[in-house]
Amino acid sequence: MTYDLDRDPSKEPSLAEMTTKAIDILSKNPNGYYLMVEGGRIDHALHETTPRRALQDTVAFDDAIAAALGKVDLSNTLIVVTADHDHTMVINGYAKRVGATTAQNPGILGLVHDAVSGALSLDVEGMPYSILGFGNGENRVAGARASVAALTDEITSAEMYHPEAGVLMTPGNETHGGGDVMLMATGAGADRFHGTMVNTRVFALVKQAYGF
Amino acid sequence: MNRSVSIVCAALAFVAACGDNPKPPAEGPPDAHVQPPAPDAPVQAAPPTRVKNALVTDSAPSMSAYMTGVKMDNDVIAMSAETKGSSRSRT
Repeated sequence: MTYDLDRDPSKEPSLAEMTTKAIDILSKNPNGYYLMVEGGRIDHALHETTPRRALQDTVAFDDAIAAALGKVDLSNTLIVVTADHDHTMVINGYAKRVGATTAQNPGILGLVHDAVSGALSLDVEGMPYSILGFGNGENRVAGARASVAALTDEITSAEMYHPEAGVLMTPGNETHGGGDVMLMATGAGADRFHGTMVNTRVFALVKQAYGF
Repeated sequence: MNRSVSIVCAALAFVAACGDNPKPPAEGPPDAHVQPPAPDAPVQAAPPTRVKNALVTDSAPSMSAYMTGVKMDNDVIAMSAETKGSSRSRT
C-alpha cells in the first residue's frame, strides 16, 4: 500500500474505497459484523518524519471515516475512531493562522510567522524555523543553525522534507510519543465512551456494544 | 438483534480540528476546513496508551490493548499480561 500522496487511483483503491467494500461484504452477515480499518501509513510517514505524507494519509483516513458514516445505520451500528498511540511531532511557536495547505499555500507545513506582525519568527540565532517539529527524528543540524542556509516555505513543505528534531535518530526511526490519544464515537452505544479511560477499556466497551 | 460494530484505528500523530477554534478571525486566511461541531457530534474520550513496562508503547501492545483488553509489555502482541518480549527494533 503506497502513501496516499503517491497512490495511482487506476492501480490501487483508496482507504475509503476499501472501507466501503469491506462494509458491503460484511454487512451481508445476519449476525452483524466487526470491522477494523487502520490508516497505517500515517504511522509509517511519521517514523520517517515526513509530515506532508502523514497529513495526506490523515485526510485519506478522514475520507474513510466519512465513507463509513455514510454507509451504516447508526441506530444499530457503533463507530469508534481512535489512535493506538501518538508520535513526537509538535506545533512550534505562536504561529499565525495558516489556512489549508494548497499548491500556493504551505499551510501547516510552512515556517512560523508572528501572529501579530506577520514577520518570520526567529530562533535564538536569528534563523527561521518550521511550524512542525519532532522530539526525535533524522534531521538535526550539526552545529549552529546559523551555519546552514535558512529554511524557506518551499523547503519545509516538500513531500520528503524531514522537520528538525531535538534528538537525532537513524533514518526511519523516530519513535512513538507517550501522550494520551483522542477517541471519538458515534452510533449505538457511543455514549459509553466518555472522559479519560485506560485503552484496554475500549475493548470492553466495544464488546458491550454487541451485547456480550 | 442485528448489531454491527466498527472500530477505525490509526496511528494518528495529532487530531487538530476537534479542539480547534470554530470561528477563525475575520482577517485571517481562509479556514473553510474548520467547522463548528454539529449538534450530534461524536462523543469524545482520551485513552492513555502507556504499557506495563514503558512510558511509550510500541505498535504490538497498543493495538493488542484495543483487540484483547489486556495491558501488556512492549515487544508483546496479543499475549497474557505476564508475557515478556525480547528486545528488538520497534515500529
